Amino acid sequence: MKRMGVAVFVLPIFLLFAFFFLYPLIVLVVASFQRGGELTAGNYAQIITNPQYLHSLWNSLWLSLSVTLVALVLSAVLAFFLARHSFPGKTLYFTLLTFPISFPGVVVGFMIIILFGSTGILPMLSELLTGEKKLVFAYTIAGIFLAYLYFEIPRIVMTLYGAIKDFDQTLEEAARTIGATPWQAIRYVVLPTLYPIFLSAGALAFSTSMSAFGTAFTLANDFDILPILMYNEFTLNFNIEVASAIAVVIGLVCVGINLGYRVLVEKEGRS
Amino acid sequence: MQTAGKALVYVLVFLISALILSPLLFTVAGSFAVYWGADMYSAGVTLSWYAKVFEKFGHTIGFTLVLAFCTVLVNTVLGTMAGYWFYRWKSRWVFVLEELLSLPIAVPGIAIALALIQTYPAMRASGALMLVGHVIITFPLMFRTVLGTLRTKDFRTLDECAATLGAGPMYRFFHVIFPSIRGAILSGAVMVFMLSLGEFNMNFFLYTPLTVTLPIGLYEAYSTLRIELGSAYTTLFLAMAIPLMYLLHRLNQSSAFSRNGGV
Repeated sequence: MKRMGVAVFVLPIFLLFAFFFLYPLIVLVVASFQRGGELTAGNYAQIITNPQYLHSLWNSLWLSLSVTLVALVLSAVLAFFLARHSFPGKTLYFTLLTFPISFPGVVVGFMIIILFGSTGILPMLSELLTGEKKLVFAYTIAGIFLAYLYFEIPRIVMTLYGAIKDFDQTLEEAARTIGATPWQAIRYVVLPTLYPIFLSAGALAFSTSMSAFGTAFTLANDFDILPILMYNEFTLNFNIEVASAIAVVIGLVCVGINLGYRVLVEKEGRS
Repeated sequence: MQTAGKALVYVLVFLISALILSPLLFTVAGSFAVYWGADMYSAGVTLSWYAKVFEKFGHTIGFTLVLAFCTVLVNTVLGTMAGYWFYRWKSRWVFVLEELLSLPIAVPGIAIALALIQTYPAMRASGALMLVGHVIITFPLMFRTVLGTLRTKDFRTLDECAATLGAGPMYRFFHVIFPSIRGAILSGAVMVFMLSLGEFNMNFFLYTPLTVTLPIGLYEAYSTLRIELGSAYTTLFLAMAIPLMYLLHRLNQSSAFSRNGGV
């Protein structure tokens, strides 16, 4: 009786998860192994063998990886700057800089259109100054890259800032006293200590980029990435089985990265 | 060498800030201009773009707010109950189930949406599927916040104390636990609301012409309408999101929030 009374608390959410999360995911995986009612791994084989699909997979991977690396460096600079300087209005500045973590991808895309679209601020500025409209690259790979930086930097800064602020500065000062340059102190003292948090921020940024859909979709161009390919297979080609296989691949990469970095950090913590 | 390094840091900080903040300023500025261009305000200032947004997309704002409120309501109840139960329950299965209930953070929204739409296509038209989807993806925010707060304080002693005095689980929950975790529930509610308000990826797979949400409306405005109208519409979104984000910073929850939500 006592057990029953307690189970009532948690039964609703388990039922909801079973029916609207776990079961649909099973349906998704089963669909991804089917083609015309037959059991097959053909949908997955297609992702690796079809040049267009392989191209999208490759694009997604290198875009996410390169954006993550660049964003990690830029965010580290920004986070160190914010943690080590105080100036009036810093809280407001920090709030505004991290505000984009609440933006849907479409808004991120629009921000890039505002800056680099065909009537964007910088193209208009270049037209005023040089008489020629330049810098219209919102709809190219450069625009996508900037858009991904736009949503990744605030997320990474958010993760890094607290850790850098809490870092025991006496260690860094000790290194400086024995003759290390500021850069050496950061390179050999601060970064080795903080590397788990960098790993965590990087893993988050990478999986966010891999599954990003709205951002690239707003900048609609011919740069193929997996989430857009998945959407096209689903809505344009009505090929729900291939779309499911792509969704499973994206999901596995994201969940795998998430688990992988935690295992890595825990292992490091034990040794 | 050192001054060069410092200068580089300042330049980078300036460029990053410009990339992130300047389009926000131009969006707000452009939404009041009669005409978007290099001579932005030469034709004057107007509120007509806002009027057009309300005329064309007013219903999306209302619908999104209702959807977000319902999501918060459901998850406040479910997340609090589950958090309380997980806190009390002693078993090695706790961690496995906790991971399971946190899984929607890691699984991409587009994958969950594609799974939902092919499993329950009949629930799409009413918008019920969208509500369920939002509840699933925002649940971990409420659940983990409540559970985290319960674990940091010694509620067990209080709880057991009340139990020795003869209070049942329900009574203890409402009179001992609940008053202590009100702050956590508020934080969770704000985060759930924000995530639901800004969700695009899942909505884009699940919406119908009758269940258009604000981010879907934004996409339509960006792809087919004038940039001034897009700016006004975006400014309305910002006006809703900025106070909430400020509140999250004050509640010290923006870091937890940043680990959720797709773009």
